[in-house]
Amino acid sequence: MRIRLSLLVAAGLLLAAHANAQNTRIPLVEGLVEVIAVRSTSGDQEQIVAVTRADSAIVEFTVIFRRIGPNGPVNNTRMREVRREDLAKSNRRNGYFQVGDPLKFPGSTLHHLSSSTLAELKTTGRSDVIVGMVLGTGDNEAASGFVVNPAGRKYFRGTFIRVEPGRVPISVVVNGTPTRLDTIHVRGKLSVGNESIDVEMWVMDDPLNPEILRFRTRKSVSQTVRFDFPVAEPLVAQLQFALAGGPGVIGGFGGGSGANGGGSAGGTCRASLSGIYFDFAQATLLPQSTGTLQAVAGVMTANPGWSLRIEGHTDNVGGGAFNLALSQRRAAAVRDALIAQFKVPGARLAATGFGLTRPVASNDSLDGRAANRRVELSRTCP
Amino acid sequence: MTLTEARMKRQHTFLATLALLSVALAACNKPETAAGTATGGLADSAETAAADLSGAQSNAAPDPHDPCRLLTGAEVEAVLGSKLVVPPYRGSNPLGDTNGMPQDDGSVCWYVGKDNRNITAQAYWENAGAITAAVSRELAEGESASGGILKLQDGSELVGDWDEARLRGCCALQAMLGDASVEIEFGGSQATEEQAGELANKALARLTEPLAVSGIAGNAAAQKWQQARYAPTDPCAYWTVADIQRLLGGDEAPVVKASGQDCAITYSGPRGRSDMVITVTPRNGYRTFRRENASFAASARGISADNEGSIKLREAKSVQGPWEAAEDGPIQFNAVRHDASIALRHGRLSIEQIRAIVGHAFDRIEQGAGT
Repeated sequence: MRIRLSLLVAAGLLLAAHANAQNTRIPLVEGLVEVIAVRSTSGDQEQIVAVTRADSAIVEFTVIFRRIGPNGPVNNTRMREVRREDLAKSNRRNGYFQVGDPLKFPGSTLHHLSSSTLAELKTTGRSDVIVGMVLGTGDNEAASGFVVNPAGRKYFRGTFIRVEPGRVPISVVVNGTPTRLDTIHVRGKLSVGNESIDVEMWVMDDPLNPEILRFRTRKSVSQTVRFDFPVAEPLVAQLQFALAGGPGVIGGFGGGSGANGGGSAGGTCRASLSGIYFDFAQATLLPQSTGTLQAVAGVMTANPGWSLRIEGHTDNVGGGAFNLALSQRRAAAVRDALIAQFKVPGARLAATGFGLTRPVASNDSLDGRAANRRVELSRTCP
Repeated sequence: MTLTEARMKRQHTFLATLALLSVALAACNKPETAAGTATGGLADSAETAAADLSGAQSNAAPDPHDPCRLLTGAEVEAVLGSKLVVPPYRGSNPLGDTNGMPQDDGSVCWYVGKDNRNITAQAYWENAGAITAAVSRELAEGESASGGILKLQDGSELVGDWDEARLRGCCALQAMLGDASVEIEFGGSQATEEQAGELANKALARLTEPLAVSGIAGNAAAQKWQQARYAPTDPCAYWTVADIQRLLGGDEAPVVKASGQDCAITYSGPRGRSDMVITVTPRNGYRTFRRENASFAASARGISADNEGSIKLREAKSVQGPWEAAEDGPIQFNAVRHDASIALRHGRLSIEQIRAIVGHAFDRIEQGAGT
């Protein structure tokens, strides 16, 4: 009953958040971090894509591929530099990494269609494209992934046709807030030699950042489920505001009104902690989490009287026992890092795991499951 | 084994693997019906059509996978800077042991200009993705490789009409389009990467609309031309024991003996007995010279990187002498003259002694020593 109520409240907040975020733009700037989820038979796999450099000529992406291999979790990190001129006008996309790939593929984008391709799709409803893909990788085929396949990458050619005349919103967690981002939905039959394949893409309707948010081919789907990027208001201020019981949804699904039944007056002051990244299915914090941890430490320093509870939450893939243990270990990992790296007194930090028991979204979709995998902070409001 | 030796061994293993890969891929790329299309009539037509070296016309059904249908002779002449001396012909892989020899089912088209400067072209008509992936893996394993990136002198990268491209070794540009690719090997020429890129663009455009010429038609003329070239089997054919003693001095008679493809020489000097190993490549020397210089420079950089700069080998430098070009590097001395190259590995020779030994060998090559 508690779970159902929680889900209903969260759904309401989700809708409210969506309604308030129609015009959100994702800036293609240094510090942007993105999580791409890939639906596979063994559960959702994730890629973390970080913009590690962005100047007037080049955008550098660092991509961490996280998957479960035959001998356990496997992480691969690869880098790719994409020229701004290609982001502006190239019609070729190479979203796959192979062993030995060079850093640059001049003439190709990575996770984007170009601005000119987007404009053509919007004005004429069609655009000729070239898409480099590695097929035969099973249910990860649509993943812009790191692949080892003897068949290698092939470049398919064809025409994308716009499917719906209007924009199609896709739900993504943006800086901790569920947000509907407008996309252009396109579809095409692409071919090389005697081989052809149906491809669908949902491309962010932003000429400054026409990123492919969802990519589907055959039975495989990948989708961006989360963006975190630097904002004008420092994260430390956002956390301070939310944890002090400020109104509205700050930093995620909780906020002052409390997604899980808490309230600001005598209840729970709460913030969903965006910008925390773990190894796939593990409790090892990734370096991309450092900024957020630093912000939490800043809040604790600024408020010496505060004590925080760190809560781990998961999706429902893997069953209750596994996820409960995982959420507990992840919460503990955040606590340990705050103590060890940022000298926050351990007595002011508690760590708890709730596993799959407190979802904030449906576990039936990639974006819903991504929203459910989260870390929240809470404190007892005065 | 020292660090330098270990790296050199890895480098050679890498280069050998790349060469083997090239040969294997070329073998895979041979058209099944090509051998059957070789006829004396076609070969004769090449000899009688010597005035037109841009690619011989053929009355036979064209081989769809004839690599000579991708570039005209004139297009390659413009890059070589001279007229072709034989018609474009089908031959073996430029990195193979029998490089340059005509083969009727050859997957490589050879374009040979003045002084035997040459460029080769070949195509993988399908499954190029697999080939590119294999090449990439090899490049990744070659520690000194840069992933095949096509960096130009101004820091920019070569861009063409291809979907992606790799530079293999110093001088093989592999450009992929869809699931096909062409490879322009320009190590036997003085062509730049940009010029190779222009040829690759032209060849890619002809994958779907090839020229109406036959590479086999040039093979008979190429056979005659190759047979007329100097190629002794003895790697020590260029010096007698008396030559070595006269050129280097010393009281004791030197020991000169063949060691595989090399000539190993032990001689005496002011600081006692010393050894050197000389490798003469009497044909395909331009390509060998360019590739060896590039690979050893990469090795030297790799040794420095392996040791975080604590070991820094000196830069190779150009040396004047009785040759067209020479590079005196920390690992090996390389020189080239008229498409013959000589590599010398030594410990104690002065540059004057090197000039004497190497210059003597070049003279002997031009005199046809050992044939």
